[in-house]
Amino acid sequence: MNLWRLTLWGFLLLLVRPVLADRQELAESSFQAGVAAYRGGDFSAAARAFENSAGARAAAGTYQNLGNAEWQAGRVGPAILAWERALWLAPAITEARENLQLARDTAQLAAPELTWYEVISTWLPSGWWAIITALSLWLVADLLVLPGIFRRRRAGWQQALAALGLTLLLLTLPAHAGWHTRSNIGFVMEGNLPLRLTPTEQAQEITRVGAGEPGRCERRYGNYCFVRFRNTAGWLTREEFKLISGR
Amino acid sequence: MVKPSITGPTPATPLADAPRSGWVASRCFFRRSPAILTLAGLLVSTVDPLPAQNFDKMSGDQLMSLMRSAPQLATDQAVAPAATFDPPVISVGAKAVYRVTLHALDEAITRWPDNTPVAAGLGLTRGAQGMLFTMGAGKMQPVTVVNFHVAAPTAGVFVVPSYVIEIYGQPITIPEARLQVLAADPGLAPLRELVLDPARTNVYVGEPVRLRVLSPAGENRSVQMLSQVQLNGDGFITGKADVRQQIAPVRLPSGETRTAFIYDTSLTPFAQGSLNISAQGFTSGNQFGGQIIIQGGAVIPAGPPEFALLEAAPVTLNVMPLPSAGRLPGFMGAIGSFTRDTPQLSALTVQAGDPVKLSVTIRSRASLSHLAMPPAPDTPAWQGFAVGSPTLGGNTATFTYTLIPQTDQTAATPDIPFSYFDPEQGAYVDLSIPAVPIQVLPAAVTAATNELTRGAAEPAPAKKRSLSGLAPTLGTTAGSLVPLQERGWFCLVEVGPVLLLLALWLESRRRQFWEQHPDLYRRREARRALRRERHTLQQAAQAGDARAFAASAVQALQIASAPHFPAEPRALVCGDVLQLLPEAERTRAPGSVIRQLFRATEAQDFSANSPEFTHLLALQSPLNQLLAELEARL
Amino acid sequence: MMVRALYHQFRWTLRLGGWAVLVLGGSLVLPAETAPPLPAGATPRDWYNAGTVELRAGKLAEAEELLQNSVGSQVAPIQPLALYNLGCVRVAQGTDLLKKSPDGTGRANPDHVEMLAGLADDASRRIDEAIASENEQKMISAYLRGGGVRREINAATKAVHQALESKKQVLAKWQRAAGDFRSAAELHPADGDATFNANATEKAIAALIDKLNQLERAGNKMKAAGKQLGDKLKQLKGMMPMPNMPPGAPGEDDEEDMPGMHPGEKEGAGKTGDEMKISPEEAAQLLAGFKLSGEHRLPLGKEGTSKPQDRKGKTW
Repeated sequence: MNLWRLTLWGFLLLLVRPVLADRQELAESSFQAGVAAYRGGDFSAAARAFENSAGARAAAGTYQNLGNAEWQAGRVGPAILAWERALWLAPAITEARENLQLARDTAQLAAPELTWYEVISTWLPSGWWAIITALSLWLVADLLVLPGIFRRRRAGWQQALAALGLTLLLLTLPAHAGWHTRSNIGFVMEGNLPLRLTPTEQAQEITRVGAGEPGRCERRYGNYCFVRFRNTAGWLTREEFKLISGR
Repeated sequence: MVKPSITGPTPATPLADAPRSGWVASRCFFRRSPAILTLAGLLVSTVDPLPAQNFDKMSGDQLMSLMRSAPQLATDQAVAPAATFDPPVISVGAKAVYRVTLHALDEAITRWPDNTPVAAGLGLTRGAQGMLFTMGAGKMQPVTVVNFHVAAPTAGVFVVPSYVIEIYGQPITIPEARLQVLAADPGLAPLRELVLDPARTNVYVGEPVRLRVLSPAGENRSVQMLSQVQLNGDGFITGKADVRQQIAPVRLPSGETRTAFIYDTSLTPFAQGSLNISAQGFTSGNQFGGQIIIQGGAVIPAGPPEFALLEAAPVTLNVMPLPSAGRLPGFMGAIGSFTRDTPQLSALTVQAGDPVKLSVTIRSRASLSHLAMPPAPDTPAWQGFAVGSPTLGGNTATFTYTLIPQTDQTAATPDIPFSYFDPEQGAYVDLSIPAVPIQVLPAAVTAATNELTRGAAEPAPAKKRSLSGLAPTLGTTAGSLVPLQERGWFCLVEVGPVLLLLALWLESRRRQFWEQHPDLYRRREARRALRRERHTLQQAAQAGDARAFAASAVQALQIASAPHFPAEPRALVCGDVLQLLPEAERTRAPGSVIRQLFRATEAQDFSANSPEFTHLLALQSPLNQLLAELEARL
Repeated sequence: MMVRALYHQFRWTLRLGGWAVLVLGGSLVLPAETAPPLPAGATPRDWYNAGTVELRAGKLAEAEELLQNSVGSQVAPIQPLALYNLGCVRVAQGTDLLKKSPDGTGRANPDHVEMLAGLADDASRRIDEAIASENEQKMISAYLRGGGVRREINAATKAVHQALESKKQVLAKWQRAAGDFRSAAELHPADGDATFNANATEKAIAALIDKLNQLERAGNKMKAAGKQLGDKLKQLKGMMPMPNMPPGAPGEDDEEDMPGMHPGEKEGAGKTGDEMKISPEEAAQLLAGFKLSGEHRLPLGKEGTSKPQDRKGKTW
């Protein structure tokens, strides 16, 4: 019985592994093709290649290069989105941060306004926060439950460690809230886009928004997002307004 | 003419809970209160108020005519000083007012004794002072009233003797006045006082607050109208434009509900701290100015008015400063709760350099008379001017701006920051006027203008900055941009350790249970071993291996019997197993089967000759029955 | 007591009088058909209801604003209804504009345009003949005739232009109305009325665009004819000696409008020397007392404020 199960798992792993390897390989090859096209001055082709690479596997370096290629091709919105995604995956990338600053200064665009817990969430990549939370949760649970199970007395250091883990767990919660709310931040893809009053094709135009303007998607209706900008709000399609989290 | 085939608005009637108009409400009110008819008729017949002057609709000439036709001021009339106590008879400890009335201008009083002569034991404290004009002989006659508060600690008759003051530089003698103070209250009328009732006492600097001055009905439900109502104190301004007058039942601070004349006005504090506010007003009998709403039953006194100056005890407003933190751009001092309509443009297409009007309406339940417009935007692409002050109408104020596009490279008007402070939330709220889309056509501008525009639009050359180079590697990778903590598999992984801990805990509980109940444990283990041994027994029988059958049968019998002693199964002998059978069965078939099996196995172990086992296979059926009975007893 | 006695004597007269005054006053103060002003906390439903009432009362501007607010509040169940009524409002607004717009179709009538083009050709031919003949009288006659035709062409061009502009406004309103109906139908597909109205509005728009094209063609044709005639007149003017120019003759100079002014407008009289008078509003404000003006800032924080002081009494 156990042997049969092990065989099944091994078989599944063998099936998935080539797919994962293929995706990694595609990401690498597209990335290199993009770099070559960028160095050759074909920024549109470079952008396509980086996009393919990011589609195969999301990577901070790929998004940073995608931002550069889009910016050089004159597409402000996609460039800003790509750099934001690079920072989303790896907040420590200074190049992407500087490029964003440069682009916003040049295009007279504002950065998204973040709440305090959203600012905290930018300190580490999302996975790190998740892992810290998970580890601290397991640590606390183990230290509280295992001595009882194994009929050992809870030592002082165990209790101290559990308190430390619990503190760590509580401290990470605002960051998770920040990640959750930041997931709804997005950017306008093209310039001079009409902001719709209703989520319809022939909606009344409220105003026009520029490429790279930050906003928050508050709710959805079909293919439309209700986006709140700093001073106005209205409906945009998902192609016109892309979320940083890619959802 | 194009007449599109349009069906009527949907739905045929407005949705439920449509707002009721004020007219409907008024009709309901009158149906409920027939007494109001009486009062209304009485008012119509006795009061002939002057029509309200609408300055907005008057031309300059009409205004001059009005000013010229104003009656003259009577300055040559007799001063006719009078001094009275109100009420003239009080009980010990009750309050009274010593009131001096003069038919002269307030400003005409040039001298008043520093210490008003007063009877011993009577305390006089100066109170309010006011002036009003009455009409007589075609002239406006000033009447000035000065109040003093009186405290009488003992019973008796107190006299304020006559004394001399100066009016218009002439000595005028104030006559003496008498106050009778009784030791006990035989049901005397209390002092007539006003009541000051602010809607809120904790307010912010600049926040308009409604405030009512109440003149409660006296005996016989007689209500005195008030005129020249005045709020005294420092650090606030009062709104004269939004005064409302009403006669209605009100709940007084004492808890009593009484019909009262209500003078409802607004007050705006402009200094922080504790503001002491008091009120005063003249009783005017059945005379009043402006509109008045009357509800409930009340009696309006007839005859000439008394013009007594009444006062209200001061109240304290706690005025808090507006917070500096969180202040938003475009804050112009607006405090309250506001909403904004969609801004409107006078034209949707305009040439660069041509003006276009932008208007936006602000709404609020409170008065908007103090609302200031945010300044017009001035950007490289747009030049703006605020047109006058906000246009007020009901509960709305409309801002109008003239905007001039400086270039055709703009597709929308600029944002105009505007915010207000919401005292309910205690925070500033953004109500900025958003950009409105507009098509700007290029204008035929001169070369000089073009130069100027270009010069203004182009930013100063900034420090040369450039994009970073390409990243050499993929860098940090992730399966998806969706945060790890929001992916389904991660949540499932989080559940794994929990399940493990749960399993460990359950196992621990199980172990503890067996430790506490060893007999149950032994029986359970015996049942398991018996099932295994019976399986071996079956296999030996099927194989025709009589020796193995006998050995397994004996072991099965020992296993099934061991928990009853309790003992190690191999230590049991034939007699031990037989003890478990009922007395009658020991000598019959079951006992015989047991003995035969034990004898054969013992013979194999201890006898030199190899015993015969073949016949034992025939015992399978009774043995199975016996083992089943023994298993049932476990 | 006396008042009570009087009241008992005339109570029925007083009651009737009271009723009459109250009903009359109420009807003057409270217009029956107007939706009451909405409070600041009005819900989208309130906006919708008020907008519908205004639409029924024919107050289109008010209805548009209220319904626009209702749509903008993004409440899903109300949005399609408000959009539908907003479409009705805008169709009605466009129709009103169309009724009020100057009718340029008479001047843009193909026959009329052809007639003007023929007149322009005839005038051009006469100018050519006059130039060829070098006869001053003929030149003057041709100049005067050409000038008259050109004035007529200019007037017709202007009328067509005005009609074009106003019809473009109608077009914008109806296009928006069609968009509203389409949006209402998209949000609530079962609403057959919205689809029907959208189709009807689009048909009306198509007819209007035909009319606009007709006007535009006529305008272009007249503009071309006018330009050709103007060139001829300029040529003729250059050949005529100034003393022989007819009085009040049309010329290049007087055809040009003053920049920034429309024909028929006059420059306003200068304001020098006029006495500055106080306006009734300003007088009312002065009389009403002081107010906070927009320039006076209220204190923020504790800076610049002082504790309220006790009011001192008179210092006699």
